[in-house]
Amino acid sequence: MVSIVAASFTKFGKRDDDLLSLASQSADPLVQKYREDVDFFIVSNSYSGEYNGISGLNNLLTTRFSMDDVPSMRVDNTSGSGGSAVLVAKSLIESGMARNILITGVEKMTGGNGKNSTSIIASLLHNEERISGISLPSLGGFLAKLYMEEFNASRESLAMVAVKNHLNGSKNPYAQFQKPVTLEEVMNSKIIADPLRIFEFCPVSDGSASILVTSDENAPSFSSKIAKIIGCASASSTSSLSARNPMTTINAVKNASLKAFRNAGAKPSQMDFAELHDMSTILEIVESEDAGFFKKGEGWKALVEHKTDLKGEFPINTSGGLNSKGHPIGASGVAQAGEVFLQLTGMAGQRQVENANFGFSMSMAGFGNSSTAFVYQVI
Amino acid sequence: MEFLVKRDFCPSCYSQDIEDSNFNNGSVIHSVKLIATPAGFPDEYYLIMARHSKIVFFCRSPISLNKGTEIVVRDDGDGPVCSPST
Repeated sequence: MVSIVAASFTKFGKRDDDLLSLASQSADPLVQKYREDVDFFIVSNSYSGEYNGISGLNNLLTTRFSMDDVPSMRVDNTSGSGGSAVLVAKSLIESGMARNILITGVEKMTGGNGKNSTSIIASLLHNEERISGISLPSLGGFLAKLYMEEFNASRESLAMVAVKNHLNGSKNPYAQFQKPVTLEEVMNSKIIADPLRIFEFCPVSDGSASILVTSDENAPSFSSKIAKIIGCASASSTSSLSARNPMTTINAVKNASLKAFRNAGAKPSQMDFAELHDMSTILEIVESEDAGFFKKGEGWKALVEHKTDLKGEFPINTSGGLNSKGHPIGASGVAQAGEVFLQLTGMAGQRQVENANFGFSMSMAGFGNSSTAFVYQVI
Repeated sequence: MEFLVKRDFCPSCYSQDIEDSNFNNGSVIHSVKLIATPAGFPDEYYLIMARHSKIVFFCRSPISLNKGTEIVVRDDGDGPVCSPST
């Protein structure tokens, strides 16, 4: 088993810094302190080619960090890159191939044309679906309509995810959006993919997050505050939306969560909080059900009953989620792990969950093409 | 078994004996108005999720289409576009 012993973040948002500088900003504090110990570097990044004209990012960064001799790799699993990077790091350590791994998730996506950005992200879809003019936000719109129809969910409950997450984001110094929004503001904001409005989608963002991962045996030598990964699993589903049945269940989330909990010897009911992949508000609701925290079709009620608020029974997305924190694609899954680390080690400041002993994170690729789930425990 | 996206093996029986077929009609499941659209497509349109036999597919429409509307599909050079069949 492995543990997270340190985390570092940049503020997510529209940044002037270039891709390598963004990565440096979160990695350098860890490099400065732990350079002698790091024996492997993983960068989680999906679109350095498409957005930045850069390839071989891992080696560019090890040179930037003056860790020239440290072996490295880049992990790309689209928006699930971060989770996949942590999974790879865990596997390398447990196999004995490495001892202390620095993981940096980074993406530089802003500054370009919105339609081009929509196309780049939609490139993970099959051509037979992409030629219809489909986009990831449109899939959120369809899922919202299907979900509300099937489970009689109120429209407002979806918007309440955005209200909750923007409030949480306002307490997170790293979040892109740090201003709360009201339900009225969300419901009256610009439609992007109806019925979903602009506040109900994650923004296009720049940013990076870095964590240091080591074996359980090594962890105490780094820090007295540790978040141990006690369970981890990855699962896939068809990337063809048209082949999913039922469409209101994300099988990759369901299966990854089941396996992760089994791997951990734990249950969803034991978790004190979760970081989920809320690219759109409806995804947080569906994932909260498919990960096992609420019965199918009842996740929306948890919003209405304020169960998933920061001070609720089961806080979800204390960081502000992708919705408010932002979604620099390669950074998100690493930032989720970093948020869990902060919560479990009592370093989450104004958004601290009281008595947090167990945490959960779900890093998802595409629209549920694959998912990596993690169960953590504070040591 | 029927499926929309190209596969090398049938996902059910793993046979490689796969036939291509075309279709040009369906029935609307849902309609979503899109404002943030990909490059190469109009700035605004309705994206239609529809069903033909056991296949779910997507097409563009300039107007919203109600659930259950029977549609015909054609290619406008940029991709599938649908309209009510009556």
